[in-house]
Amino acid sequence: MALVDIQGISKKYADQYALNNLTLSLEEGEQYAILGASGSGKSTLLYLLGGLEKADAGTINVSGRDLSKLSDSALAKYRNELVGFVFQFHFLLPSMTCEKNILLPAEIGSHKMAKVRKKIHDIAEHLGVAHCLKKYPYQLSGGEQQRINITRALSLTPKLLLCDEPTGNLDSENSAKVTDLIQDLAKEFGSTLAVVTHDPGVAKKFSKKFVLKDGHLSHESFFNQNDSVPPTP
Amino acid sequence: MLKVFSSFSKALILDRSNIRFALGVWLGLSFSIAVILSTVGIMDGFITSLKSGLKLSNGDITFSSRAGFFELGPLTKKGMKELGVASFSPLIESQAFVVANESSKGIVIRGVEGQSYSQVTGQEILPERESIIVGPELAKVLSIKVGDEVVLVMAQGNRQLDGLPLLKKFKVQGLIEHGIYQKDLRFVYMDQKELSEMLGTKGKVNMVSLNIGQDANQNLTDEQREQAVEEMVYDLEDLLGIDYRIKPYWEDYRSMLEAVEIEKLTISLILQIIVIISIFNVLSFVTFLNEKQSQQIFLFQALGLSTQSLRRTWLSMVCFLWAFSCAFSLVFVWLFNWMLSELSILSLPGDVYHMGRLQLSLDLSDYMIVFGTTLFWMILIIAFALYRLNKRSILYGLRKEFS
Repeated sequence: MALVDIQGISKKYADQYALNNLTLSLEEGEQYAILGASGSGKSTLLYLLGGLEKADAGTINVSGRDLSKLSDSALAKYRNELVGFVFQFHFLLPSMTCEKNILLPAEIGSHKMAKVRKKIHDIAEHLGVAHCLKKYPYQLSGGEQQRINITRALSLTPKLLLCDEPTGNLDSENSAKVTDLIQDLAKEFGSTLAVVTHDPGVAKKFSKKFVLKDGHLSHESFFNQNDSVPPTP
Repeated sequence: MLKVFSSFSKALILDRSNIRFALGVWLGLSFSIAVILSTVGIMDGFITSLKSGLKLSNGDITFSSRAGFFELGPLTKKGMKELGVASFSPLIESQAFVVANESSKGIVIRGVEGQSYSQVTGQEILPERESIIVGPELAKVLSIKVGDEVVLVMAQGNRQLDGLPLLKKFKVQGLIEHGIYQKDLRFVYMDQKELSEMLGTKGKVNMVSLNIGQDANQNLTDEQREQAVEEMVYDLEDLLGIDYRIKPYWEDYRSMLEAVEIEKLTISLILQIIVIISIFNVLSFVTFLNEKQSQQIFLFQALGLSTQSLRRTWLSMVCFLWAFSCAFSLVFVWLFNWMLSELSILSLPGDVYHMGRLQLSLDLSDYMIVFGTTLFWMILIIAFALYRLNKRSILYGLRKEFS
């Protein structure tokens, strides 16, 4: 069953199309890598999926919600409750402890804090950063900061986990570990995972891939590592 | 929402330069509010001091006959009692010169019945025969003190030698302060009978001071008391008729008091500019934070904070700043009031302002009006600016800030 159904979306910046009449769907609980050269529109696609921006044309339907028709506050609620973001620059607020950073989405969405707090401790334990929760971000290594970022993204059990170059700042060893952890947790929580990456090592870990070129789905897109047949858009 | 507000503020402000900026904005706004409060307070203080000073020399109401000297008949006394006049004191008021230490000064001489006059004015003025009580400013000008001798020079009145002045020596019995410079400089009190004899008025008086009953009305506000005095003036007009001129205690300074009220309003309006300038400082602070901390702001939005909530959070922050500024402005006002009463550099030129020292007088409505107008300007300006500020898309912000 498709969690995300994208029909003919276009997004233009100035006179240039970042996405042009793109159609695709993401199945519930599946994991996808989104590949493409710089400027191919992959990050734009991710942010449109995350409700950070609205498409100029076409529709994005996520779990029965047409994002183009949501009001600003409904879209904010969607971002808070259904979507988890893992940014390349993990971007943790330096004035707060890691735990406070992780609890931020729960605070914004007025969720039950006790329940969320217990959950983030479990995730942090799983990711091996439980000892970092009371620390400030600047006291952590890059890998630990990224794991805290992942904990924050998963804190509200999102249906859709969107990662923008999550391993872009990590060495290859940490990169592989972090990718595995993201994949494991997304599977455990039943979240649909979409990862934008340049890293072939990361891409290799995904059986379903979309390749974007000039805002279109490239014919290189395939749904199986060994499958060279492009999917039907 | 409170948690989000707290986290948002913490994320934006907990930076040394931001804290310094916030402190500057806070102090600036507090000072601007304090300037308006102090201006209003000093004007109100002036009015209050002037009125209480006037009351100290006249009681609540004075009346005099248009025909000059008159006898206060039993019917009038009875009528006043029936109207609720608590106490009254007939007096003679005339003009004279006082000569001392080879200098002289034109004065208003009042012949009073010590007991009744003290009761009406609340001041202990009990002049003995061949003695006078003077104001401290007059004593200063003539360099006289209690126990010194002075000469009073006045007209002979309707006596045979009315072409020649009447001169008589008096001893300075005491000093009496009215709280009004002009009265402290010009008023001299003496025994009424003695003055009547000197002027040959044969027991007649030319003025009556009366009190509407301070004890019974002590719980009234100043405004209610003034209203009660005005009502009594109307009642006395009915009782005494058109031959008498009846004046409430503020009447002689009515135009000045009205001018001060208008001045207060005008200055308060002009001083709104200071507040508006301070609010523009707040606006620049908001703009500065919005630019400098845009990463944090976009992150909050990406994590689910709606534009509406973001504006609400900004406005809450600004309202907090307003509330703290209002609170701190009270410290500035207190400081100004202290300086006004303690520092000689801030004493007023009494001959211009009628009073040497002033105290700020502020009531709840003054605070509400000043704080309320500040909040109004603040919300108006900041809300408009916020509407313009948050038009950038989150994606634009993320791309710009995270690249």
